[in-house]
Amino acid sequence: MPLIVDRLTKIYPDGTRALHEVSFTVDDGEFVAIIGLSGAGKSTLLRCINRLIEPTSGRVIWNGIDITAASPRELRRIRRQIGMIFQQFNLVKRATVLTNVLTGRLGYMNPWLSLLGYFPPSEVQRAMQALERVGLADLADKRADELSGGQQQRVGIARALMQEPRLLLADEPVASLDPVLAHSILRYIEELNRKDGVTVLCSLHFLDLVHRYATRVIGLKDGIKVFDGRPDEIDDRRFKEIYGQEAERIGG
Amino acid sequence: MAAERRPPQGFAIIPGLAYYAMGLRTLAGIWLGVSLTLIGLALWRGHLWLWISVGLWWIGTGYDVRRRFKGRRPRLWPAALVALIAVYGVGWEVTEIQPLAPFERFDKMRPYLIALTQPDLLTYPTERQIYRIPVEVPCTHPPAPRETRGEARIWLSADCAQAGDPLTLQGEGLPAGLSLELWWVNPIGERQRILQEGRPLSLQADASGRFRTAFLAPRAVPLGFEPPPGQSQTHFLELHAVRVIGGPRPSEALLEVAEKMGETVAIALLATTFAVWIAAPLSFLAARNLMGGSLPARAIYYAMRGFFNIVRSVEPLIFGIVFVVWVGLGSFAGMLALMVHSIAALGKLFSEVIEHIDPGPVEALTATGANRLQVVRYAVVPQVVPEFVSFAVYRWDINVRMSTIIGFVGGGGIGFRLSEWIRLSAYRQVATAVIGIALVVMALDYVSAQVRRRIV
Amino acid sequence: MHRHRRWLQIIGALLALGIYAGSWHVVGIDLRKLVEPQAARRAQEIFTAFLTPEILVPERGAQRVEAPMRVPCESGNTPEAVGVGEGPRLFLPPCASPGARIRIRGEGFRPGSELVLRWVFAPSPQLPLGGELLAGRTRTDAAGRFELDVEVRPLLAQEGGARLQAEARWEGRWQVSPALTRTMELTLQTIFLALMATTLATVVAAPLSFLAARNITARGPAGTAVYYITRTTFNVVRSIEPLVVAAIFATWVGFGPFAGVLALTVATVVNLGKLFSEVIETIDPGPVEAITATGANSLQVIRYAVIPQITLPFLAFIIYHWDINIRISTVVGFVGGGGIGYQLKLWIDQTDYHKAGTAVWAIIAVVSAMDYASARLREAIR
Repeated sequence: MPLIVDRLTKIYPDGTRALHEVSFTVDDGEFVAIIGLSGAGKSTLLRCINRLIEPTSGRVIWNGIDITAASPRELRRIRRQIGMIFQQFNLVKRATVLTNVLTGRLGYMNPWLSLLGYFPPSEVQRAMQALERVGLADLADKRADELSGGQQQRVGIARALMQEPRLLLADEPVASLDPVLAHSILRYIEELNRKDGVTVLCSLHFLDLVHRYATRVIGLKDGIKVFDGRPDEIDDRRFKEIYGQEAERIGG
Repeated sequence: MAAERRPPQGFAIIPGLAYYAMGLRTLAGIWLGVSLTLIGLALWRGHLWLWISVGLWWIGTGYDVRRRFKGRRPRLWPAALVALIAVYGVGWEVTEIQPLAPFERFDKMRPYLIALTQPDLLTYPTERQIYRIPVEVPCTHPPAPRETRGEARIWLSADCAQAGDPLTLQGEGLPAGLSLELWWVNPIGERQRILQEGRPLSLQADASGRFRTAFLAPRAVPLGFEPPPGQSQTHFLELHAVRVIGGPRPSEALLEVAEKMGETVAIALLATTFAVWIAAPLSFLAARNLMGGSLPARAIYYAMRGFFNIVRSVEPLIFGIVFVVWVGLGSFAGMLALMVHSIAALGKLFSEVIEHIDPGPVEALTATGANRLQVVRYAVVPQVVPEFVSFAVYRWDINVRMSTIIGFVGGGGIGFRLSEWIRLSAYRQVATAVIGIALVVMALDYVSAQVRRRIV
Repeated sequence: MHRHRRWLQIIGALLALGIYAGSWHVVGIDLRKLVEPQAARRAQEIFTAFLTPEILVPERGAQRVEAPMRVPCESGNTPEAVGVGEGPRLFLPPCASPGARIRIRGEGFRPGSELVLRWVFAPSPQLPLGGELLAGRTRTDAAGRFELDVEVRPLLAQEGGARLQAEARWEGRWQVSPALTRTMELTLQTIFLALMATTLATVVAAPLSFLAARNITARGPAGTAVYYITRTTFNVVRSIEPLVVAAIFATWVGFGPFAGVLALTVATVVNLGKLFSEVIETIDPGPVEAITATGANSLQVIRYAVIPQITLPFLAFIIYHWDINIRISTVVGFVGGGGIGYQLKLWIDQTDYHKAGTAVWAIIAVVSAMDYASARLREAIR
């Protein structure tokens, strides 16, 4: 049940061409890193997969279902199986950590009951387990904005865990964090990938992180796929193709 | 200045055109606006001097244009001065400013200023001993002094009088230091305080229990009960010896002010509460970021925006007169008026809060497969509630101020009594009410500021 | 600890409930009042009228001619008709017998207008207030003539006759309604009222605000005293609504816009004074230091280090308060302070709701325009 991205194109209303005929197939259990300069289309690609951004043309097929053609109702059913974590964590800062994690479950819940703010005890228990898994169980009652950046991202991961995802989209999950924290976060994602068999699509900035965690790399430049292969295949020539002629390779 | 283009000299005839040709678009717009305003004012008021000022404005800006043509520094102040004089001249006339009136009519204001230093706060329960001295009005015989004996001896200089006659009253044998009031009672029982220089005459018995005072007999013959010519009727001069028994009590005015201030605060509280609960859901419909996309959503957005803006620009007092016609006099009408205005004011503020939320959580929750309402409930509401509460408290503060005057149009609260007291020239009661309002408003102002500081 | 908090919460909730119940009772909330038939009809009448404000009205014209007619005739039979009036003329017999049908003619009336004939009775023992009786209706022809047969009713005999009145009425071209003209004039007065008050207040508040600025005034015991006195005065007067001040000022200087100007000036002085002083308190001390270091005296320091820093924020607050003052000056007339408010209240009291609607829409237009203009201006000077 692979993820098939077929000639995906996105042109924004202002005429910017963010993606141009990007095609690839991801098998179950892969850890795909998406690399490229800022503005190369990494975020747009990830958001077109769960249609947070409406693609202009092309198709995304997952589990044999055409996401790009799904009705709003179907789309929500698909989305709840796709976890997503963000560069800016996107937590509700004034809500508690526990509430933030529980919101990951909304797609599964009775919509009317959930509007009252009621979560069944079983869900609360599930949320506590998710928090335990990211090592934050004792902070469940804190407000999200009282946490450090790394802790907030772990809450983000716990929120994604609540969805019991089959696919995880991670948009620059560590770009706002210190290098040390970056590894800790990526290890949680790696564990999800290895232990739970969740397919991961993760945009990353640093090549050394790509080498360390990814099983496959897709390189984007100006919205066009310029590389698709194993991390160790990225040599100097490939690197310059992706990052431009002036770029210098650091680390990795 | 180098960037300015140099149009043909003839353009200076119409300075605005010259500015436009020089590339000074804003200045050209201002020129047109001012010219139209001045011409409009001249047409409206029809004064020659206004037409002259239109001409001077034209000449003044033309002069500025000439200077610019010659590459000298612009000089607009003469033209600006002419325009200002014209506008303020009309303002002076239209608002009927009479700089001397406040001084000439200061006697109307003095009682208020005096009353502010002695508001009607306390009364002392008193016991009165009354001495009645009959006085014939008018005199049908030569006046003779009249003496009354009781516990005290009291002399009145004449046993008959006519309005305006000087009379002298003296007495002895009264308790020392007792305060005394003089009243005049006519045959049909109407009583009036004896005045001296427009104020109630009050005196005190001295240490040995004596007093002496002179006053003028008041105009007291009742209309329609005039005595036939050559006859007189009996009036009474009353001497009230007032003894204070017991301690001070709050005066009637103070009690009423206290009660009405409670009502005022209650009106504001309910108006704000209802307005918050109505405005909060409506504000989501007026938030651009939530109502994007489909055409109906856009239409609702613009409709709500328009509604808020129109209603917001109508003062609560205007709603007050409408609701008084609708549901009758009283606090309910005032509450409704404040509520309607607050719905619009809060709705606009709330929708702006919603428009400025962090879009991240919305995106994150949408990605988990939550539906639109769930996204609003879990990503938007938690972000906006503290701001909503802060604005609501602020609004309550404003509404307390407003509800002190909503009574001017019959909307209940302190304003109703206050406007009556002002009309009746009950200076001391007005002072009591004004002080009461100031205290309550300042206290709530402080509380509201503290609460808002804690929340955000 | 936890239990303690729970109790506090319960007490707080009960207290709030009590306060709301009390308020509900005091305010006398009765939602039925909104919908009971009579009230609902009044409301509907007002709002319908507000939605159809009086802007244009047709020019109305009328011509009237009347002449006496005795009933019955002394001679018994009805004589020939005679003409009465100059310009429009009415032809009728000077007397008539009761029950007879007589022909009334007219000429010289406005062509094609509605014509009403009525008997007008003088006061008499039977009709102490006099009275009117419709005799007939018709229209004038293209030449301005009409003819109508009228019955001489028994009531005429009882009263010994009456005056016959012919009235031609027509509606002409649509023209700007007097209510709109009046509204526009008063709206302009409202704007000027706010302008004058804001200007006067600025002139007074600008120097006063220096006295209420801690960093300028609060030096030494005398300065500190001045600072606190000014501050407190601002705060106390601020808590009194301008309308209360206007009501008192109306008895002082007389009803009219000048009372409104004074009241708004007082309110604006204290508000601007407070805002201005806060601006002064937050200026950057750097330039003050620098200019003082050049050996400038205090006035020079204020002129070259303080004033350049405060001009724009002051201007923003002044514009903002002109906006606020326009809002207030729309209602200051309710207490005799001039502007459109007085006329609006009068029209509503007279149940002239269409005219009141004109005033309300004018208020909405002016206030919205000022609101927008003030926001744009303040953005521009920031």
